[in-house]
Amino acid sequence: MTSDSHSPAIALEGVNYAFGQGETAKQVLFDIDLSLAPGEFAIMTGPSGSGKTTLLSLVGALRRPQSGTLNCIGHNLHGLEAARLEGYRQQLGFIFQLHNLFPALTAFQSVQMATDLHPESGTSNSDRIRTLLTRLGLGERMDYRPHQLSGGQRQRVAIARALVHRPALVLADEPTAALDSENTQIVLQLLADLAHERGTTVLMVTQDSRVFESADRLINLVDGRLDSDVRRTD
Amino acid sequence: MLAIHRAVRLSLRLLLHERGRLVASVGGVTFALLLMLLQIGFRNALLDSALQLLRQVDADILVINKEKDPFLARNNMHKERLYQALSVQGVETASPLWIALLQWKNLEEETLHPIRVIGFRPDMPTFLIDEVRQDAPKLKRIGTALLDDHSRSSYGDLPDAIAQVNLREIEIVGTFPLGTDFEVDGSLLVSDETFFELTRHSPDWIEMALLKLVPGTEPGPVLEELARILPGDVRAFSKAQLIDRDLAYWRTGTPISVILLVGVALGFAVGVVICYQILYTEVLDHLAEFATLKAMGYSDRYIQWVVISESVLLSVLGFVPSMAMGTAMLALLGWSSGLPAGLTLADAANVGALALSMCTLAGLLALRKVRSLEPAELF
Repeated sequence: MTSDSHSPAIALEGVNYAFGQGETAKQVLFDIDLSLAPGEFAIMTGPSGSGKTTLLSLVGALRRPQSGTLNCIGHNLHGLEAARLEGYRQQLGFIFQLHNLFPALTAFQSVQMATDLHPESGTSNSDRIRTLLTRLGLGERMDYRPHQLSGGQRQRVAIARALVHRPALVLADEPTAALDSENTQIVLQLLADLAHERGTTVLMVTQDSRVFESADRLINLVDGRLDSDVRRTD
Repeated sequence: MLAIHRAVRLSLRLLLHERGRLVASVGGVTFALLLMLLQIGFRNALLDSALQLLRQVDADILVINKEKDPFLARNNMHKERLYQALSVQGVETASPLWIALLQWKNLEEETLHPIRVIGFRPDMPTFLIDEVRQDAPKLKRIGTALLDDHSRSSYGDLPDAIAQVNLREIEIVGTFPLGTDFEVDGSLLVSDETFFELTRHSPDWIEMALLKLVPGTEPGPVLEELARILPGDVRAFSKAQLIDRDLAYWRTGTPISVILLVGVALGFAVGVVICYQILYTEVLDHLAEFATLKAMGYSDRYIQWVVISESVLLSVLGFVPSMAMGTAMLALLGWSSGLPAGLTLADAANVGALALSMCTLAGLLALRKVRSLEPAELF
């Protein structure tokens, strides 16, 4: 299922989430209502422990929802069985805080792990991988393994892996933390291009103030509640 | 199919990336396979050595004492049974065989060692061994013998021209290849007359009668007739029947065979544990990466294929050196002991199957960690 241009890419209503059960349960999200349109670039910020990453993981279907409705790019995330869960995740581009690259794979091979899930013509995928890695400043390091790359370079490989298949929804958790200003701008431009040219929705969790200006919306989460939701045109 | 191919590709890359770990892993698998191979080789030595004399006798049917079980046990019968068997239609010749355990003296070290002495009539077809057939006429001279050149070195520098058996001098006039077994370290072939000289046995009591049938005669009806006319103190078997009977005895009727089988099972268990540790560590080291694959939309099945592929690759990589080392070690054992310790193609296939089972089982156990993996753990 894919969303059409009129329905929200992300539609959350009354989302609550707690860790643990019974008396030891600790609630981290309280009645979250959030809607993102296709092509929107939103940044979610807030103090540590405010539930940002938890919310991101719920939208990414990395955790099972507990209450509320979660509809994302045409998928109701409640009760997704295995095959549909995999299909949904394949439509996402998830950028984690840690690169989690296989030490055995070169930069090219790592990004190829994403295109393997979206087989088009082999040449087309290979070209797209090379183009993206080159744009991220890794053109001369495609055959390098993680131990041969700097921390920032590894993160850029992980970003390429998340974006190479032109996902409908990008979820990013502090993607620019390990990047210098120049590479941060390159990544932000990439995301902006995806959003504006392909209608990719981007939801980024970050404390990096350098990226605020690139976003269409700034969402602030405090103690598990939506504290503010500001559109930059506002 | 494509997903499996890609899973195999990833598993190959993961395995080959850390050469040191790969060598250690393959070493562990090789060790476990070697344990099993050696047990199988020892068991083969037991079975083959017990049957080698029987396999080399030139007979279609053998008549033996009914108590003679297994074949190498010494129970004699009266020679009259041979003549009774010879009277059956279809029996062309009946050759007697005598067997005794005597003392061979190592002339250099002045030590005594038991040796199997087999007496036969040199003018009658008795053995299938070419060297024996060729040199049998030399044995007509009393006091001569053919020596098994696979006998152990404890007998001295072999073959000396003159040897001493049961305090009597024997002239070695030739050698033949047979091999030792778990009872004796060597064998000597002599004529019937030399046998009686050495042992003082009565010629009327023989170890067995070797019957050759008229060409074209079916053994079945002859066996039935022999069963009918021979008294109950003896039994007649076709050579194939006797081999089967002895195989069954040595395979299941002796503690040593069962112990060796237990050894194979233990080797298998050790291999599963070793392989499981290797794969479990591999999964643990790449938990975050596997979780990321799941977050990207890879299925559990794909990740399972990666782990299983690694286990299969380990089994293949461990199989080759284990076969090479096992074959070499068993050859050394055979050379030093005279035992027919070796591996057949069937054994190699069996060990290959065991290797695959062992590593796959370990892989399936290691998958428990993967199945419980939640991408949310990445946070």
